[in-house]
Amino acid sequence: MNARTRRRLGNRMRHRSRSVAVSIGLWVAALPLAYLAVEAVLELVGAPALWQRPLDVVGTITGAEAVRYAVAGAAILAAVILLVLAFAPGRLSRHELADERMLVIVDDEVLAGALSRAAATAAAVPRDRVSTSVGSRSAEVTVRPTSGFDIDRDEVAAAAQRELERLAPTPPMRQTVRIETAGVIGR
Amino acid sequence: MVGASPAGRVVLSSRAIERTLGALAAEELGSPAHRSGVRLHDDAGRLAVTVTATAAIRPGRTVLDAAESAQRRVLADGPVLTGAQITTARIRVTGVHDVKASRRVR
Repeated sequence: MNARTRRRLGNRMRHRSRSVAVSIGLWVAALPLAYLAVEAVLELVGAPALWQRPLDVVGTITGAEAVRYAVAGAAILAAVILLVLAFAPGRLSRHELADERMLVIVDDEVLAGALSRAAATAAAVPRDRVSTSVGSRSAEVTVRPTSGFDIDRDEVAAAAQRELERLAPTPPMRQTVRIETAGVIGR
Repeated sequence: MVGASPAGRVVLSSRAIERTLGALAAEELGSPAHRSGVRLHDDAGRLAVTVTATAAIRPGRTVLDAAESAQRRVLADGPVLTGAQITTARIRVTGVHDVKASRRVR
């Protein structure tokens, strides 16, 4: 697997596929056209129209003022939704990890768990006193200390940083460590 | 409750801290250690301690004196023995007893 293929595959798994939006958009565009085609054929062979003759259909949906605005509004709304879907990055909450032989994609929860574990060990608190939230390019680690025992914030931050460097997620992220003021009485 | 060591983790249980601080206070109050009650609270990441114990009557020493020296002892020796940072120590004396009398009962 060369670097390019690898990057493409990684991007595919880290971004939402647009195929659903595309297929819905195509169906919405195709159905009215198919209907108009059927009406056109019926008109040609002189058979009675299913609903209205083709040109009358256009007249109906652009005729009365209320109908016209409703149709235009729906078209604008659909256009905006499709444009957003087309241009928004559609990033999924996942990261790619550095690995020589394989393409490794992990959900952000997994990264958060790894950072929490590293921080908990460095802070010497039980694992359930650390919570981590991971965004696309940043991770925030929050540690609840045991009452009476200070936690060295820098030490915890260094441990989190080491873990990040070890995993080397793509896109890269920065970590911040927060030590809560209120502590908990240990068990 | 802690020490970051290379492998594993050293944890001092809150029970151990309670017994240690209770013993310190009881020693100053002159009452048996096992009869002291200790409660730990959080004080912005530090420890606040409440010790409930009886005090022994001794000639020339008021109950208040005993309680104050118990408080000083917990604040001074508590952190040394447990490694915990203690901000406040409350001593509640719930009763007094005569040292000689209690010895005779045993």
